[in-house]
Amino acid sequence: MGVMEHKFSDNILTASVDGLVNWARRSSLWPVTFGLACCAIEMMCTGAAKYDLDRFGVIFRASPRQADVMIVAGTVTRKMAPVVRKVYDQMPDPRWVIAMGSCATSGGIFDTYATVQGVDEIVPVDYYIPGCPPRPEALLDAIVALQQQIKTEKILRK
Amino acid sequence: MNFEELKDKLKRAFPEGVGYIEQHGCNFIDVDVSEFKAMLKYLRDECDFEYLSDVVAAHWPKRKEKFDVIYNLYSIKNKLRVFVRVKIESDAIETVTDLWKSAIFLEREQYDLVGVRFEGHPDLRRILMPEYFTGHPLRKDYPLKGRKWFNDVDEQNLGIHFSK
Repeated sequence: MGVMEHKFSDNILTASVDGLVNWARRSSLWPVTFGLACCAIEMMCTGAAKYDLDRFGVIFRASPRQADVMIVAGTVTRKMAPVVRKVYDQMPDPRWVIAMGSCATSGGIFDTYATVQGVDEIVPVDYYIPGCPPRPEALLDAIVALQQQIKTEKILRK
Repeated sequence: MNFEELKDKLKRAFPEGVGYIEQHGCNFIDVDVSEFKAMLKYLRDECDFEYLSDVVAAHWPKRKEKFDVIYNLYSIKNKLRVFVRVKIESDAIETVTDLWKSAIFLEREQYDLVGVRFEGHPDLRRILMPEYFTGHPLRKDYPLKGRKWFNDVDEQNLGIHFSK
């Protein structure tokens, strides 16, 4: 700090672009309000007072245009698949996907004629959460893991 | 009017070939396909069954009569529920949309899933499965894990391809 000392007035911090941008991104992970089945109940519970997603900066947004994360919570049927894909397509970069629960991960118990066998058939998935449905702690764990991953991302160079 | 009184009334109007079964706390009326429409009309007009709450078709692949069609009627006035059961050999039966308008959706659902054709129905289309689907998934011979039908369909041109 020798060179920088006393060059600027008080209240100025310096940071790398990666550090600053990644801090902003991981501290305001806004998922799109989007639930398909019983996992969505668990997701709402995670957002409510007891587990309180807000303290992670996770605030559900009602529009994919304002969202960074899609939490696919529930069974994706074949008729729902184009809708999931369109919601994903409408999200601006950077965007991440969390497949919540065994249905979104692999189709789960619904090995049937109408169920998509894992949402990774339609959209790229960053984190898979096992469970039927997963506990709120498991969803929190995925979100924290996603935040840790964002911390290491490079903005200007790959 | 309870089921016993209804039975007596129906026995006077339809003396032949009707079976009455009370099972698991439910009231079943087994009626021949030649008579079922008249029976339903009689139940609606003379016995206050103003509400058709469900139409269900069941597939019996090994039986001579391949399908059961079960009409779930409720009388709000008498607080009485009956199931009118009709056995059919082919996959066709006369519609009851002219008696109860609610049958329009209920019969469409059974046509979609079980594949019973309701003749005279004003708009017999699929209601749950997408229109590019072929077959009737609730038939006993339908393969449960048959997903080939959607693997190569990309109805909205989103570039989706399914492989599993």
